[in-house]
Amino acid sequence: MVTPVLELIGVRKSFTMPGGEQVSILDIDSFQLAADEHCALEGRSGSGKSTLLNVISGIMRPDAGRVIIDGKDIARLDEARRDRVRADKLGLVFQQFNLLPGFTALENVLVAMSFGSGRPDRARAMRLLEAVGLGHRLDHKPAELSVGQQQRVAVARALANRPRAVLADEPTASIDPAHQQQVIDLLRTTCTEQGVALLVVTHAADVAGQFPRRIRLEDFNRAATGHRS
Amino acid sequence: MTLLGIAWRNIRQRLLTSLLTALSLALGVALVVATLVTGGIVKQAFESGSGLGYNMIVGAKGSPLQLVLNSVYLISKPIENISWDFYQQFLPAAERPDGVDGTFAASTKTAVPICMGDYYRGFRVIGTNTTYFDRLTLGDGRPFAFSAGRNFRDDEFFGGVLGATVAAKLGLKPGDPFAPTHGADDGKVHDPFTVTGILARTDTPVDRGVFVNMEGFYLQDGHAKPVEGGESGNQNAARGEDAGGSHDHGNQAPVPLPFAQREVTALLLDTASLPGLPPELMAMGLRTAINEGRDGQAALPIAEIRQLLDLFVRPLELLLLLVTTLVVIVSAIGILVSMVGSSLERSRDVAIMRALGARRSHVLAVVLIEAVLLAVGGGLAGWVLGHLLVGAIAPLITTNAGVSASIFSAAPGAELLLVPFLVVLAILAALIPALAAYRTDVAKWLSS
Repeated sequence: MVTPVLELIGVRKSFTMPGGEQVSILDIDSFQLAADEHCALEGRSGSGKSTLLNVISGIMRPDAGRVIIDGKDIARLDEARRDRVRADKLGLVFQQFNLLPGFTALENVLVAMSFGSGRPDRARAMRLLEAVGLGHRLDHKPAELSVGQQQRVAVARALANRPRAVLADEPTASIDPAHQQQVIDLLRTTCTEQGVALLVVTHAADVAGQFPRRIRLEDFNRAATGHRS
Repeated sequence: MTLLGIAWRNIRQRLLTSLLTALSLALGVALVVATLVTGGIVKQAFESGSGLGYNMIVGAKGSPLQLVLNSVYLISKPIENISWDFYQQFLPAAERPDGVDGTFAASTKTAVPICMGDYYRGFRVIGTNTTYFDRLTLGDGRPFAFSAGRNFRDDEFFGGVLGATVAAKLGLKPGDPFAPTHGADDGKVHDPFTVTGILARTDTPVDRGVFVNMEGFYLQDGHAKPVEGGESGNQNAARGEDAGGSHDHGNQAPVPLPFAQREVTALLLDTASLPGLPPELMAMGLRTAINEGRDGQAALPIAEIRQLLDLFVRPLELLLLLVTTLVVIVSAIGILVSMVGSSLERSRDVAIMRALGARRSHVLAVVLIEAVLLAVGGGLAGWVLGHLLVGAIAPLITTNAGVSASIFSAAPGAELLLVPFLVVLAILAALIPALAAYRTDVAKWLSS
């Protein structure tokens, strides 16, 4: 296996419930994602998928363990440095797309660039949007775009800072079946073209079935049984 | 895209709210600017008037402030008159009739008499002699200048000089006749005078004055002092008028009013200085000497005006400034209200930006920059609006205060501080929503 772009070692995460009870959400001995790998991560509701993505992206810090992104253990970094790693090394695609409503398609990509280490590159942002078929919608705001077009903007935005991996959280859950396949194709094609690893979290078996690597969270997260994420 | 660009885009996203917030700030700032500038103009009006080429006013006993306001600023009513004999005591021997004691002559460099009580279309008429414009100077020592014509001569009994504002407002020019009215605008119409000159603008109350030769002034009906056993009115026969009543139409030269029938309203004194004695000390000594007598009182315009400013104008100015500052503070709170009102929408945007890699300091900065942009935008708009307001009332100020005011009139020190003050206020007001953005729980917002 080539050098992993993402590696989890002994990651533990638990939350304190209102009654004071400690609930374990993540208990993962080991997980790896190779640099060019496309992987579907399945999991039922409450298995800890969202928490896992938050821990991988550095939004949350694990209680224990190592979260290694492109060779750097972000679990040891302070929040500002984790933010920087997230901006530079990871691209995120959300279930609700989460585009900034007041910004145009092009600006949504440029905003993501402005938090990375490099300077915002307008030409690259335009190329990315052209690559996802939105070259003619650069100045349109999210409300003026179809659901499919919004998801394309989200994909282009995820690739804005030349990330090492794209993390997609249920990217097809909010769109109709006719567009679901387009989104998966777009993600896989674009990530392949850009040489970026792809981790798609989904609960849809037909989506997961299209990926060369398909794993279930319950299989490597010992805390998954019976807990909500 | 820079943080500034993101903040600007956020403002445009909430355009109506942002515009209303900025407008509220602009109105507050406009009020402050207008108050500061007009307050400065009022002070300038008083200070420039008190700095004319004389340092003491002598008039009838009564309120020294009223004497100064009437004689220098051409507002308020004259107290009473002082006697001609008393006036003569200030003149040098060469200008005094024989037998008159020059009690105060040694302490006087220049004594300019003025007689008041008449009006011409809303402006004060001041009877005086040629020394007003020949010997007095402006505050900075410059002599009075004429934009047209010249000063009246001693023998031009019915000659008059107009202040710049009077001439501009009434459209008079040298050679034009004008007939003052007695006591008030609707009083008895006197015989006409002729304009001999128009003064260049001085930015002092002089601009609002109609100055006529006091010899002609004395010859008007009701201006002669009644004397025992004599006629109470003026002596038309003595002035050699023809039936037309105009000095221009007479075949005989007018005869001056006898001294016994003369009074003056006040004297504008430039006190003398003696070697080894500070001028201020000499002025104080002269004032004491006059005030101890029964003939009149002496007032120092600068002292009276300083007292007036300290007692009334400055506290009023401070009060206005306080009220308008409160308006600005309330407007700044508008920024807080506006931002807190959009906090739900903002939290989602903040969570998205944080997920994209924005640090907490980034989102804090974006919110503060938004507030600063609103403050600067609203502040500058208010600054322009304030000056437009001053420009709109400038003609009124020029006419009534005797100082030139325009859209460009400024209160430089305070105005320069205004926008930075507003920016600080805006930052303080935005701290609450900024800290809320700083503390946004990204995971919670993304999962909802």
